[in-house]
Amino acid sequence: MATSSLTIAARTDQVRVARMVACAAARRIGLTDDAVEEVRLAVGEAVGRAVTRHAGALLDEPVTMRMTDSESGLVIEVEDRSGDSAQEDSALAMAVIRGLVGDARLQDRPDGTQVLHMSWAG
Amino acid sequence: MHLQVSTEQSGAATVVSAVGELDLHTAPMLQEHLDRAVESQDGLIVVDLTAVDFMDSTGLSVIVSAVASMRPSGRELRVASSSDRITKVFTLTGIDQQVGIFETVAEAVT
Repeated sequence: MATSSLTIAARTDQVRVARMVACAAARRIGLTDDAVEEVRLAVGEAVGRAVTRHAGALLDEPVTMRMTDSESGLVIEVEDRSGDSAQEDSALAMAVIRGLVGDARLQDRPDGTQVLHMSWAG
Repeated sequence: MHLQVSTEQSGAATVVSAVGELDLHTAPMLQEHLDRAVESQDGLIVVDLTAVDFMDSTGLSVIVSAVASMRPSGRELRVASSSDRITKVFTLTGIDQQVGIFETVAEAVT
């Protein structure tokens, strides 16, 4: 099992970087081309949502993506720190994520961080 | 920018073509072209996504917004794309029920 993380500025142009890194991780563990494309889209939605929430909360904090890969597959968690002050206008993004990733789930941590958890079987 | 957008007339239709990646960063470029097409032209608008390699829900939002602003005047917006990775975004969100999707621009403008 290997865990890595990517911390990006909460800027729209950085979402593409997160997509590329996630795709590389998906290819590394041998996911099919179709699954790699699902990772690309889901991560784009998740990180884009986090960046939008940070902007809505006027929060100048980075967004973190954590990736854990193992023989059983790939787990990606996207953390945002916008808390309750974020403008929640991400219905389409969540519809795409939930359509792509069966176990997608949001978790609110006591420190105000919201984590979007997604996984793909290897 | 990883997106290029252009607008041209094809008969009575206005074709707004995007090339590249359509996401949170680049979607405002498409919005700018669509806003102009909605305001300055009459009739059908075709959004050509046949050369778009990636699109997320922010690109979709721009298209949905244009559809909503055209609806009161009875105008129609169609999308051209033959890529599963693009049309999937429409089907996952149910927007394919509101917007006609055609495989080519030629089919969409007729």
